[in-house]
Amino acid sequence: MPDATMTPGLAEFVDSLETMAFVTPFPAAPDAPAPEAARMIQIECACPQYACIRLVAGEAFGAMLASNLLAIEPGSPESAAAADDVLKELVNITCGAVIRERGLATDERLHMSLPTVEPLDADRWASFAKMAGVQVLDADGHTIAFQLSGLEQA
Amino acid sequence: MSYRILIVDDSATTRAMIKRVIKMADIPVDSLHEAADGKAALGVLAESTVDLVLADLNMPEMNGVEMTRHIRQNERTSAIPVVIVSAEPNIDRLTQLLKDGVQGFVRKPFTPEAIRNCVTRVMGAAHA
Repeated sequence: MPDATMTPGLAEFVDSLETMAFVTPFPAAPDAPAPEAARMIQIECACPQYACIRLVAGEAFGAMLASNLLAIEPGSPESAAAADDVLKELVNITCGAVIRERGLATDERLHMSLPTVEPLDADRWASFAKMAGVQVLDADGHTIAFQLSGLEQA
Repeated sequence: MSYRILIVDDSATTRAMIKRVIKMADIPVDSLHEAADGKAALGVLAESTVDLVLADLNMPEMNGVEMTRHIRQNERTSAIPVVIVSAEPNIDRLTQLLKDGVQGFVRKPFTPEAIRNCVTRVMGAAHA
């Protein structure tokens, strides 16, 4: 992914996604479709500056990752059932990588929350995709969006 | 010698991945147990004999640090090797865990080789 497209935390997210599930995302086309059955996966950390990672993706993206990871049939009920679990693990891993890359891993006040998932309707998707620091990506044909907020001083 | 292994992670997908890696790596396995958090893991350990614990740190109910402390304080489980498999970035916390008797650490996202090498090393040392 060209450096010019890098928003904060994106390098760590891309690396986590590639290592975990062998998927390389690229900047999405301006007319990329919104993800279907979108959900926002969020994790917060204090190290000690507050930071928040948000990933928006459709259920089908999580299911695709699950089928890659577990070698199960894409589109199977098992892969759909694992979709949210995989997306939460992805943001958890990304958060750890972001903290390490910024040299914040030795602060004893470091705390990472557990990842949460909530559904996201079309209006909220449209707003989120336009927010500052949000990178909309195409990951094997799935539109996803990533944002790291906070840590500006790090 | 085949091993009775307990995998502790709140992500069912990660547990399934670790199970798959263990099977693919030809690690001799007698039984594979699972738990979704530290509290559930202690329940498994109270009822089953386990040779190795592979555990995440950031979990609900009881995290991996507390779980490891309980394992070490219980005479019946204190000698069981514990390997942390986690995205935990805090180096001080990991160093402290190693001092507290954790035998190994595998960083997420892990490769099959990382799991295999760590399990082989730890179980080799345990039976040396």
